[in-house]
Amino acid sequence: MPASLVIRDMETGDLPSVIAIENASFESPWSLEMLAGEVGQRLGWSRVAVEPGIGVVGFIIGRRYPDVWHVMDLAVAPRRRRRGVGGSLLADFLEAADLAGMEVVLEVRQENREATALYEVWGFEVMGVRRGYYTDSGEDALVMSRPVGAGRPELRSETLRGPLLAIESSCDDSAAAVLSPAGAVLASISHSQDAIHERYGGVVPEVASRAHVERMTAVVREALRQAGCGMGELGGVAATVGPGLIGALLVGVQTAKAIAWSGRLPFFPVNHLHGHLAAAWLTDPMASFPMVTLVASGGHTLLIRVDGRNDFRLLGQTLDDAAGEAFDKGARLLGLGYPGGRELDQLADQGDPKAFSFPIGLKRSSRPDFSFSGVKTALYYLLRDMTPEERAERAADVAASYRKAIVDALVGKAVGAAQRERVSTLAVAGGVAANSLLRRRLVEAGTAAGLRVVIPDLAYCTDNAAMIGAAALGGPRLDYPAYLDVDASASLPLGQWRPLSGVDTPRKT
Amino acid sequence: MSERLVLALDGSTRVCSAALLTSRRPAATTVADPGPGDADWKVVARRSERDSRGQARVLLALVDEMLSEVGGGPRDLGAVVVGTGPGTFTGVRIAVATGRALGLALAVPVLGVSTLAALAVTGTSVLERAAEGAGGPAVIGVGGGTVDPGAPAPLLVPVVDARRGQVFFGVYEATDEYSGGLGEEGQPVRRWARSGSFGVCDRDALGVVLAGPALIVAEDCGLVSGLPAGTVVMTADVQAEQLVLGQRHLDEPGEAPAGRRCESWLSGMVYGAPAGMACGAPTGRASWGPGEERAGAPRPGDVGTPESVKPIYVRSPDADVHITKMRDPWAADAGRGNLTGGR
Repeated sequence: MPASLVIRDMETGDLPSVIAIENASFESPWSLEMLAGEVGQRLGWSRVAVEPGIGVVGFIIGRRYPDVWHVMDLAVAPRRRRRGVGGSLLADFLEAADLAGMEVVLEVRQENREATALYEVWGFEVMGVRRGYYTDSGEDALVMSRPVGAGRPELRSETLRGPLLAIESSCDDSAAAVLSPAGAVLASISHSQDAIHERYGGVVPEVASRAHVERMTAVVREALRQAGCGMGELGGVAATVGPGLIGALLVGVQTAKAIAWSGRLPFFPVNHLHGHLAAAWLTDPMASFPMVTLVASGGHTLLIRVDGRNDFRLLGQTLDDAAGEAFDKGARLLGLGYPGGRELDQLADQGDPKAFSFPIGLKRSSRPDFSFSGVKTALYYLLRDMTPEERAERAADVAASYRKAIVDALVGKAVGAAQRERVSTLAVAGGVAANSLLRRRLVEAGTAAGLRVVIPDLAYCTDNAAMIGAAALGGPRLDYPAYLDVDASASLPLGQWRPLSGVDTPRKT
Repeated sequence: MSERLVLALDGSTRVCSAALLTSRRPAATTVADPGPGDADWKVVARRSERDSRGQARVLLALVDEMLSEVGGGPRDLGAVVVGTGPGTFTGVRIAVATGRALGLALAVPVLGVSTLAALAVTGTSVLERAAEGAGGPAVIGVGGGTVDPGAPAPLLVPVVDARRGQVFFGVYEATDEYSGGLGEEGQPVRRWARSGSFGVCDRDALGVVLAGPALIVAEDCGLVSGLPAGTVVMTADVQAEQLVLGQRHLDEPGEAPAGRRCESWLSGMVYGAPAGMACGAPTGRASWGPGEERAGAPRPGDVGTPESVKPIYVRSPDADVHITKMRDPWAADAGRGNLTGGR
């Protein structure tokens, strides 16, 4: 459900929206008079779901008889359907019924299989048929009933009928994860290609794509096995659709779509950056919005304001290299091999961070942007002018000073952005979040500024499929057959899962 | 749908192609000698789209359309056959990833068959008709005319675009055997044996590679040039059904269910094999689902499992050609390139 959804009592002022939704939802709708009669009704239950900036997007009307509670009307605005609004309204009612210890009954049009399936998920069972119940069409109604506390509680926040399989293949990790519909990680498998790419000194797209296609089914198989989940039990499939290496992305997207199609399951296209943001609430489910999240990896360095699980805005980003790229290239200049960021981090622990002075890009600018090309160039000239002996001798000091310059830039801008946005939570994500100094400094500086700092588990910093699944559960959903032609895209802006039409560049094969 | 359907798909060229096939009769008594009329495959639906949008957008949609057309669903598929290239690397991978995932999700066997073998099948009947004097094929081209039936057995050479001015090709030689099945016009069809591995060469070098008169079946006639006299070029789109249909006319190297072993293997997988059949695959329709740990269940990598379907690339990734010197960035031949080289 949209994180910012509010459910409250229906008021007379809501009636114009409510009647509009009612008319758009049913062939023989309730009249305005009937609806108005429910507001404030003594045994009634009339509540609306409100999305900030949009208004009333759904409502529920029920009766609380002394011996049984009754759902009489439940409708969601057509454009806001399949987002968990109906489920949230129902959950609100059922929780109250459970607290009161009451059974709940309802009638549903026999042909309305979608609604019937939703009610079954929530613990309703068919008790019988009322012949010709609907006077407009003469159709039969199913009578469904739900005993106190019935239904699978983990399904309450979502309408997935089984676990979600998530796939990530945007760069050089082939990853798959299985999450419960409520977002608990049941298994998360990642197959790193570091060993393959080490010999090339970087990720070679064609090599990465070949490795993905070679491994993907095995990774998916293993994730399902560890989760104890059969293919037939899945409720949905998610995949990273971009941004990333196009050939690599396509392997994951196509695998996910084919699995979804096989079971006629919904497909969730996920923007990789959205996945990184989700690492925060995957790590700390209590982390509250709004928050500012620093995403720093080999391909991205961004500051993002996050107002909800599917509600975010870009604040700033790197103007040149990504932070992870600066680390990896620095490691290469220091002769530490590939990927090198980790080795540089370890080497830096043994050096003096004040031994050399490196420039910190955009330090004096108030913009929440980054620049790492200057520090990288400075490193190049420093090392170039050293003798091989000096380079070996001073390597730890160079690494420590270089690391400090990059981390200072990241921490300074991130804390500054959080303060300017007046949020109380600061999160970090992406492969660079594994850097030990960054983790330490972010907690120190963030705490000093009165911020709650969310540092993801290491497994959720680097690319992984669990975060893709977590993002999927709060993001866009496509039902069969709407996803068959979904494509991957190398460059997707934050918040998008489909390239804007007209700017889709021809694919290089 | 009571019949089990075989899905064939290919995305290795500019044409995305998919087909649904059934077989009315069970497999042959033995694989070594399939016997006439053993593999009575027919195409029940087919789709192709000249790729303008990218295979990822097209392939599954074609499959879905075909199944709707025959009133079936994913559960009616009994096996999947994937064209494994060579061809565009991305296209090959999209088809292979799709086929592998379908095999995994539906717990059905998946078989990889070379895209060049499918293209070669198009040429076999044309050559047979030429040999029978039944009229020439729709031939364009370089050598002009038709293949001379009196000439020594020509070569059959399927060709697809390899980009960068190159082509992928395979070479098939006529054998003295007849494949049992009948051609399009009821004539017996010779069996063609592939000699050597699939290759890649410059477009204008194909004539040098070929030793004798040849029928070249190319996805595009512009792909080949500088051919000697006696060489005939015909154009044909890759048709996914020919990953199954007509494969009995080909003799592919190795033991895998390719070429003449392909149809019998599929029949065995989908409809159950008669006793005595053995071609390195489990007999009958085994369970191909994930997490199967029963004795005798196929293991990942066994013929028919998703992992057994491997793209045929022929060409190494560029990076293999010039691996950068990594360990010492300050060596004489490592310069600024190391610093500024983008990812």
